[in-house]
Amino acid sequence: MSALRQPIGPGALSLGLLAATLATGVLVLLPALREAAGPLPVAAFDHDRMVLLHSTLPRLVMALLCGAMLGLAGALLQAALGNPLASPTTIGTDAGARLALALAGLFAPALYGWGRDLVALAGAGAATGLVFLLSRRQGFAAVSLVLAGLVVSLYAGALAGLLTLVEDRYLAGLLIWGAGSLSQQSWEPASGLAIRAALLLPLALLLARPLQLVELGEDAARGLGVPAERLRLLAIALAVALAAFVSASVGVIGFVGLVAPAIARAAGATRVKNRLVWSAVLGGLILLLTDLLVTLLAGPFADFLPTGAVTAVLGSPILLWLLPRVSRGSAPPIKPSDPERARRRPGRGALVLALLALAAFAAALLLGHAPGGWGLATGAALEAVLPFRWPRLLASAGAGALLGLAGLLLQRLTANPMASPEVVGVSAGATFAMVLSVFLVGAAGAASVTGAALLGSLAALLLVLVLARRSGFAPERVLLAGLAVNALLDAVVVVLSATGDPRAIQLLGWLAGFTANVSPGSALVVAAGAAVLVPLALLLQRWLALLPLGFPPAAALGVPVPAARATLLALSGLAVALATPVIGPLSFVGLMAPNIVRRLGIQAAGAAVLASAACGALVLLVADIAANALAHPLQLPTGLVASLVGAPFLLWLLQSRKAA
Amino acid sequence: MPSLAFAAAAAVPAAPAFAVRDLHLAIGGRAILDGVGFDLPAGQVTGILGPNGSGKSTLLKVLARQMQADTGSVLFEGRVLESWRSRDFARRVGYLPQQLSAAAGLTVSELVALGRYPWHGALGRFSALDAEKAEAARRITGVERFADRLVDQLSGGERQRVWIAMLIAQDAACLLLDEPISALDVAVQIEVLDLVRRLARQEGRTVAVVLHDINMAARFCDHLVALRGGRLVADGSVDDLVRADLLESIYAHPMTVIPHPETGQRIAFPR
Repeated sequence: MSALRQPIGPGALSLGLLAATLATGVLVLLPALREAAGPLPVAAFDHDRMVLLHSTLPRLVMALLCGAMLGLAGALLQAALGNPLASPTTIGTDAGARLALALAGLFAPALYGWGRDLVALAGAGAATGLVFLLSRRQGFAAVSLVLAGLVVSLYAGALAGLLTLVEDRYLAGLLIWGAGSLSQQSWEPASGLAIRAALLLPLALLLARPLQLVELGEDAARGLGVPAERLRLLAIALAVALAAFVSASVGVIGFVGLVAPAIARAAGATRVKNRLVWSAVLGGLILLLTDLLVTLLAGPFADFLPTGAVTAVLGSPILLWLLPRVSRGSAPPIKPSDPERARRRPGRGALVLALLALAAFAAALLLGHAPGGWGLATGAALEAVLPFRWPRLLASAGAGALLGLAGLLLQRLTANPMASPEVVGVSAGATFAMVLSVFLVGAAGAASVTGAALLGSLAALLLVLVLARRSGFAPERVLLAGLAVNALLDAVVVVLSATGDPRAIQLLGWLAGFTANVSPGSALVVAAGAAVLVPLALLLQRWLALLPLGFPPAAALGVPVPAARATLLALSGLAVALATPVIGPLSFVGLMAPNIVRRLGIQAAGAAVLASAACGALVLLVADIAANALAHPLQLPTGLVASLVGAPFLLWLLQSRKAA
Repeated sequence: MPSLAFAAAAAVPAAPAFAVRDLHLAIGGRAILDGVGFDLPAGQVTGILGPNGSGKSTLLKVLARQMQADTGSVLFEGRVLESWRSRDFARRVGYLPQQLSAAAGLTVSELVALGRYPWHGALGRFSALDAEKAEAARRITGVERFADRLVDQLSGGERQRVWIAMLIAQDAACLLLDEPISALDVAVQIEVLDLVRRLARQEGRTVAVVLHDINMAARFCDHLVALRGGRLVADGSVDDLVRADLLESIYAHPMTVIPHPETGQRIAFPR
């Protein structure tokens, strides 16, 4: 057992942040203030004074307000859902708002006249409504809410991403909004938001005490007279309202909602009420400090630098610094999954999925656009198209299998159905390295970009491993470390795409996962990787069965727990590192495939490994066919389409499951 | 099984299974174990008694290598605990935690089969012997009839039995049980403790078991130790320990000890 350092205390941390904020604030505002305090100039119009009063000051108030509201929303969601990965971005709110804005901008621009925030609110509300509808049959159980939220958010995000990609000329502004820009032209939005916050805040505090009881366990809460389900819905609705108001006025600043509660908890706020209050305080301070730093460092370009994206640059290091102080008990317990059915013969289910994947491969190889139209290619025609098709398909299948495998390993390791390569930072590492190579070296060949991605994901994995090592790779620390690394790297990518650099659009294509120009060489590498790593994971299936039982039983049976966790983490990292250069970081196959497999009742570790890999390959192959067929002659990115293919299936499974 | 060899000599064991010397362990400045030292006799059932928070579970965790003491030493079969390889140790010592995980998604027979891990390891084949041991463990604990059900759908008592079955399948020479009967009804409590005693008497296994029920401990244990405030306050036979004055000092509550009207065994109850 590592000796835990004393928690730093949320109050002390807030004081420190406040001091830093004040110091930066003085630096930023001093010149303008000195001038404003001086005698009024003779001319009635003073430009600097106007900027200070009607742009800079409202912007700062806005930052404080938005940060506080998002911190509060995140803390509410994490308490209600019992999952440290829950936040406004993962429950569908942000993606819903983004999709609504994109749709309105393209098809009904007149709606903007009614107010951008109304459109965003409607989108966020619709997304959340869908999430509620989907988890209604399971009695709003925490796990199904979390899953439905994730899926809706993926789906809306993928749709919005596709629209942005196809219609990039019209939606470039959305990119900046999507990254969260705080720039203000008047006091009106800030005061409006303040009124809304003032209305919602007392409600949140009223929920603190009953939520504490829900955290004790649903049965205990019910025994004490707290209606757990209704309370959870109320808390979520409140959090969504808070987050949607913020999104509508300044865009997506999701990370604060995730990191502020995590920091508050790591600093030692354990009771729900403390967590709510300190998450709001810390969220506000972090966003304000970030914004001041942005203003100070970026100067006149500050308006174009989306603060929301940059928040991670400040928030992640704080979280990482606090990480060793996170005691084992202080993370809210992850709600165990509801009892689910298990198949009698899970091996058979895995086999069926593998055969389906094979069939999809054959179909995708033969089907396609022939000169005469859509149809089967045979004989000479097949020989002509084969060299174009097989690398793409082999790469898709291999990448899908690798991502499915990585997702399964991570979900088993962390006992959290929300864990996925996208969450644990490895994908972000690949993205970061590719972005760097594109921007620094210029548009280099595919080989060097692929190499960079491989190096980047390995480096990110190493960083996460080092950060989680002291705790013996305890699941909640791996998740938090991954989260912080992920956000930090993402921030850089988002900022670069928001600069409007033409290379950003090229990058966006890669992020979305275009597989059309995969070289035969890299296709073979990916397929070989899958052929090696999947059997390797099968060999380690006993660890996969034992580790979810928790530390005491696994250790008592002689499993070298830290070494086993590190091995499996490394295996999943390697899988992601191989797959990401091909399919991009946005396919979410690693998240969906293991969940689909679990919902199908394939639970035994070995069968689940095979089934997840097969399911990942299947989703990407079907996505590949769809990507070619949907918008011919335009080829859509396979990675994005994969979300559109897999998500409805997962939703259907979520729905069709009979209560156990 | 070497443990079978000295089953006949179990009555007068030569060397203790565990030799515990002067254990100290503090968490957050509070002493949980404060100079505990005793010998755990091999081939016998030893009951560990004591009020809540007296350090019973912590002591068991130290013996099971789940926690490390700050100072002091523990020898298992003459070797310091740290020098055992983890799988070798797991073949010799089985541990049943007080809080059992829900084991989501595992069926009963899958969970019981996991108990064979120390014998086949991560890569070894699940042999016919492994299957036989797992099957026997399911049979003698009576979990065979729900072998195909999911563990997380069982009742608390059934789940506890399944975990005990897993421990039996592990086939360790020494069993460390932390409140193994807390969720069981009286009949099953007796059934389980009877099984535990048979494992010691007939197969020469060593058992250390944390119990709250003095009378159950008196009935099924050969040897008792008692903790209070992290210190060992009693160590001896059942007759040595089940005395009103001693029990009073352990539990800080007046106790009465009378002979059972039929068996003559001493029974204790709070006044």
